[in-house]
Amino acid sequence: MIEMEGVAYRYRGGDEIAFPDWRVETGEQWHIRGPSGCGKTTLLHLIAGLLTPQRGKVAVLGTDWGTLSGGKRDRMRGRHIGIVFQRHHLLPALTVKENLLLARSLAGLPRDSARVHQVLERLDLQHRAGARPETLSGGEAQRASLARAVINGPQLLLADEPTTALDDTRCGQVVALLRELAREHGATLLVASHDRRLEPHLERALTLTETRSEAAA
Amino acid sequence: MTTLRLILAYLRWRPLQAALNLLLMAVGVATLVVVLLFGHQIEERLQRDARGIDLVVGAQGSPIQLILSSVFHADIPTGNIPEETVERLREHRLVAGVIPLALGDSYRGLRIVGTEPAYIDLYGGKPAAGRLWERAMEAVAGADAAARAGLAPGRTFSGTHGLLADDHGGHVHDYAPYTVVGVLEPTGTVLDRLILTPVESVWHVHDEEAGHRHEENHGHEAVADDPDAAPRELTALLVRYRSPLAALALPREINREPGLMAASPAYESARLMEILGFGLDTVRAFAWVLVGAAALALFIGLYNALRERRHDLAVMRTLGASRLRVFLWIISEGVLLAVLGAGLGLLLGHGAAEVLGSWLGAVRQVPFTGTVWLPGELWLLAAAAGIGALAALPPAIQAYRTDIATTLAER
Repeated sequence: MIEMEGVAYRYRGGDEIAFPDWRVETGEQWHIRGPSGCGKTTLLHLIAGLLTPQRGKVAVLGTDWGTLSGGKRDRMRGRHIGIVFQRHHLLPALTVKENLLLARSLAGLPRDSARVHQVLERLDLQHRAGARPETLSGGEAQRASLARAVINGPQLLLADEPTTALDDTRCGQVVALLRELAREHGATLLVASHDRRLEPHLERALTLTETRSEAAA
Repeated sequence: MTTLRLILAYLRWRPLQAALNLLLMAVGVATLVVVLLFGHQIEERLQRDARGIDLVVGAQGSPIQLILSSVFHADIPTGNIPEETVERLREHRLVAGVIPLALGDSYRGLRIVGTEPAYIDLYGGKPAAGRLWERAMEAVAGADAAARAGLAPGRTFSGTHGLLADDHGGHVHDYAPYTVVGVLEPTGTVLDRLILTPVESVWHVHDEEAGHRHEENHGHEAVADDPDAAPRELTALLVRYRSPLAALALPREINREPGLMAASPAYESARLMEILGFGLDTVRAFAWVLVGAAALALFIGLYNALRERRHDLAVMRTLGASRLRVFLWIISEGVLLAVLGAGLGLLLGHGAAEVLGSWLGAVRQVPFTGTVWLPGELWLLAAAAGIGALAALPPAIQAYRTDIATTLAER
């Protein structure tokens, strides 16, 4: 599913971040952990094809991102990868349903209202389909963000600090939901977070430090 | 979800900003439309009213004034010329036809024109009701004139001395009433707003007036004076050339005669449009300034919107939107706003032209309407689309260059 070899990335004016060689199989669920600034989000962006490493190779679903043009990267990301952000990042001008329909449209998939209703129902959001993001509660907004991430049936689900601002109960609920959704879609799940409360929920972990990284099962 | 739905959703999200952009563009385009319609209709009207008239002969004065008063019936005449000029010109080898005009009176602001049936034929006039005149003091009303003054066959009316609409308070020739014998079909020309009568009617009215004054001054015995003793005069002659060569010789020949002046409607109309054109150009330039301001407002609006939507654009990129798609999204939004504004401007412009036309028609008898649509207006829409795209270009380029990872990390 994911292969990383000799990957390093350097932000403009910053130090190079070197990542371990790493292999993830289909359906696995991983916790990418480490202190703030160690490169967790950067790793997710490299895997999502949002960043291109200066060195090394990142391959997802058997395709090396480096071999794809900009447009093909965008299409592959939209079609096969769902991303959940720390904040919901729903488009404020659109309703919940329109946010989901936009995700399908941008991935080049046909408008499928039945699928949208099914996903909203699964996340207990069907009654909020016509609501704008600003009127949603924090939990609703997070579930809407999850709904958007899975609307295209992704093979890879990436979550960036999804529980940071949540209390223990909500943290457990969100991780459980992420795992369930990934399992239901047969998707591989990677959760990047420094939140230690996730450790009991995810069976595999990749720990990043500023000096070295190690993968632990 | 299509790009159009996405754009409309964002316009609804910030309705005030969208409305301001639309309004600015609409006002600029509406002003351009009014100028366009006005220029076009005036020019068309001038051409239609002057068709078939090669030369106008009248009393010495301003050539433009002669054309305005005798062809377009929009100014006072330069003076009178002797009646025998008609016959002299009719016998001239370079002249194919002469139509005499005798002006001086009006009825409810509508000009009474003493002429011959050839004048009605010149504009293709036909009776819609009644018939043409057969003797003096019979009158035929143009379609608009009949409607405005309530003239119909069988009605009588008395002319008022003076030609201008504000001469209502002038001396009324109630001792010599006219009888309406016919109303003409609309022709779309100057004929529609005139009351026509034989030249002899105008002479008769003024002969009567002379007798009347004499009577008032000297008592009843003075009526015995022969009014025919006064020299017969005309206001202008509409001349048609026998050949184009006449244009070289005839005006010069007439201008050499004392008291006479020849003016070419084609030349004077062009001069008039030149003078009018300067005013229209000034208004047009002002309208383009308004459109420019609208483009600037559009640019500022889109630029601010882009700053506000940076994260939205980044999220859209993570969802699979290509750089080109976000670029086109911003360009399309600029084009749509500008075209919608221009569309609104077209409607506003035509509405304003119609209101202005009603006022001009009522007060100045200048026919002007907003119901005419010109092909040039499509160019206005195209220009608005271009301006919208241009205003959206810098924000769109910035959107194209948005670094997704950096933008997402900003929050």
